[in-house]
Amino acid sequence: MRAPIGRVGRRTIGWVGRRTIGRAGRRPDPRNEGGPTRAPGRRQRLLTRPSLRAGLARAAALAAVIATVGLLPWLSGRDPALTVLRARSAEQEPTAEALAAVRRDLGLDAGPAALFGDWAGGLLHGDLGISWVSGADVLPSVLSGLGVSLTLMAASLAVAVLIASALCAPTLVRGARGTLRGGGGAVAAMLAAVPEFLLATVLLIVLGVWWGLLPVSGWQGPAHLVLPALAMGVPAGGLLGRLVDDALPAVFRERWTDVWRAAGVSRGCVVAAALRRALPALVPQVGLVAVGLTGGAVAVETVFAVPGLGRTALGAAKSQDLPLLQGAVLALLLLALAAGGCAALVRARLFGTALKGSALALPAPPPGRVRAWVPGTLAAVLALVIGSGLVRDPYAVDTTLRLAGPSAAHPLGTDGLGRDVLARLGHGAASTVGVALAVCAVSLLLALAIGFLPNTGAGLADIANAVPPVIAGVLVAALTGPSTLGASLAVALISWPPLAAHAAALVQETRAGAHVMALRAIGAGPGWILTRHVLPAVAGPVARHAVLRLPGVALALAALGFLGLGAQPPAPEWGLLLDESRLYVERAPLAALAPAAALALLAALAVTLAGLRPRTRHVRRTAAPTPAELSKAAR
Amino acid sequence: MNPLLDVTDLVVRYDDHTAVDHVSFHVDAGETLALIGESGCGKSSTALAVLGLLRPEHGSSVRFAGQELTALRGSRLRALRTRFQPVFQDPYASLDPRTRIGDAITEPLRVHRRPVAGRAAELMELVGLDPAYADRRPHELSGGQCQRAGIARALALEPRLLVLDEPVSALDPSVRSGIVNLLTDLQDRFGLGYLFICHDMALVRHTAHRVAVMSAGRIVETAPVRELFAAPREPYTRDLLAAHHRRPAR
Repeated sequence: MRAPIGRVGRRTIGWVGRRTIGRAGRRPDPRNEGGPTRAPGRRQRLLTRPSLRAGLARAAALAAVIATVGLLPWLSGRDPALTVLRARSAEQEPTAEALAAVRRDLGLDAGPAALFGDWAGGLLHGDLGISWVSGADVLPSVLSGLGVSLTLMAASLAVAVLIASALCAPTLVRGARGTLRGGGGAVAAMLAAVPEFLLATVLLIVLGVWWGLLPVSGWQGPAHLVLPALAMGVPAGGLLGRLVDDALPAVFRERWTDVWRAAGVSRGCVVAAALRRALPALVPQVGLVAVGLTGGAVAVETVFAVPGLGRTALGAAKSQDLPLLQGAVLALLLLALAAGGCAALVRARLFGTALKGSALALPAPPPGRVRAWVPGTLAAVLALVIGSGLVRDPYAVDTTLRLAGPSAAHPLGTDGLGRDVLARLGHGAASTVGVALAVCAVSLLLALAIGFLPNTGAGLADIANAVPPVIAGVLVAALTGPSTLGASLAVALISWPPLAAHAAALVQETRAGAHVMALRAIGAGPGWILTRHVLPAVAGPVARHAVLRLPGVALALAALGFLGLGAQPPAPEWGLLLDESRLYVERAPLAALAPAAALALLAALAVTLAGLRPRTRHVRRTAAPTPAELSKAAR
Repeated sequence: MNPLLDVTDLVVRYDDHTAVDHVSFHVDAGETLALIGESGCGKSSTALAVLGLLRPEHGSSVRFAGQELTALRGSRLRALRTRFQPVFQDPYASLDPRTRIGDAITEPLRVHRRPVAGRAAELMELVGLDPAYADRRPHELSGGQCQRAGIARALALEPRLLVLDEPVSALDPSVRSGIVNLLTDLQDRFGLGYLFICHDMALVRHTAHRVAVMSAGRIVETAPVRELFAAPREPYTRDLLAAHHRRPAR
């Protein structure tokens, strides 16, 4: 008896879910007046035109990225002839003729169109050009890097899936028993927020250097795979686990789970069905996790000296070896696109025709409990450290006190040049947070401006999702040289699209509101409605969203600083501090662990802030009659 | 004399679906025409088209005091909008949640650059709303108070026709009669024409002068209210009234 119920039920999951959503989504209006006549037309228009436009936006974004990569040598605007000459033969005098010969050799004097044509033409024949530095063909080194990176990513994905399963198991067990309560997911959120470069450094220090369990650099055997795979897989697993763990409680809240349990369907069967219901909707996000791995690969491969694609790209960007950079970045982007494409295919396969009209959308997760004191405490601790560091001098060099341990004069010890770690931490926060604030403000303005253009949201979010911040940082650094400005530009470039998507959604929602129609009825023009009603409704929530992203932006800036793509020494930037101090980690562990701890605090702050769901609307009072109303009614 | 509102052959289509199919009716000054019918029969689409908020198909005619509405665009349409105003079903949704009640009531005046001074209090008193509420926001008012604010806002431009799209169906039964009485008082005082969209038969019987019955996008019957309730001609009307009688009044 059990098996047939399960089988029939499984086929009807979608139907059950759809009914539930339909009921929950619409305002409870017993007579449901006016809705049905308008709904069909609107839904149809939503399906056809914007999806086409989003597709066009995606294609345009891809074309733009490829064009940027192809035109890198020309866009950078710098003359690499001298660099190339030095790299090729140190003895040769940099005479005008020699430089001109190098330029001719590289095809730099041909202009952008010819340059791009050459590159694209070569690309079609599988020729990625010749490295400016080594003079070797680019393709073999890109391919060998790709092989290494793919192995590493596969191992990381395995780690991620293991961790995600471990994180979801309690929810699944409780859900199947019917004893599920809200909340939870904090561990997953914390893991997801730890940036790869931070985790890689900590793993290297603790497991590699202190305990000496595993090799910390190179690529000689399976043992070399463990630490990098952990560093990349743990945050990805945290993210995956969090996504699934967020979706599951809502699924278990759907009525069919009660019905199945009441009908005596086994727990295993309910769990399998719940996963089948929750997972397909999350496939696109799983694709995003895979995309994120390409960005994480740059940092992790650099820390563990793994000869993969990410390290190749970073090295090429730093040495201005543009052909190699083009090849490596192109391979990384193709990897990201392939991951996204696979996700889309899997999703289409799992959903089938139900994909249209988003009939199988997951129900919204139940709102979590708001505990404002957690981010409050974290912010207070951070503020304390920053405040006590700010009154000290971050540049005072004392060579007699190099790598000193903690003392009264230097509470967190000193770094390799005898500078006070606490002072550098405090001043680094001030500059990092200041830059992050500026980046957030720019993103907010861009997002508001672009959010008002119709149907931009989806396409823009796609671009941002396909380019991890580190890759954007590598590209921008190749164009402008590594600098704080370049890093903030890179982070701004990829941090505004989510805000713009949010703004676009709010604009659409507000414009569809009855009060906007009422405004048109009183004869208000589009400008009046936009500036006095839509903009004020959108600006507040999007600004709050931008503030919530502040710690995330700061972390992205720190990641770029860590890779040497952002602030330059001797600036006290957190990522840079971590990078500088990890060289001396055996002698002065505190100098490395202090910025690591500060970054971890920042990550925790990012997570807990994001967990605070801003209250978007005032709770509408039900129309309880006041005494005045009652007396009037009685009249 | 021209009727206040004269609608001829109104057609509204959403892609492949015809919501309003060659509908014709008129509303005179001081008269209430009730438009009744089941959910999805095209009542609200008709209202939106009459308000010029929805572009009807070619060949439709909506004449307001002899002036063709469907031919107008932009600022000229906005100028004519001062003559007819809507009152919507959901009093909360039809007011901007961020705008104070007093500002919301005088907003039509500011849009059309007319003097505002003192008008908020005047209008609020007209609809029986304490002028002290002018500084409140919609969510701080009850549904009935909010709907009074909506009516005050509709009256700000001194229109001659109100399009009432189920103005009381979202309200508590205890508040409804107060709003209905207010609307009848205002009609008597200013000679307003009402296009009253409704599906509460008791209310229609109480307030309307004439009734147009809509079904599947068409008007199947138009008759004075007494006649319709005493002797409905069309089977659909009979079903509708019978359904009402079976259901206890809410």
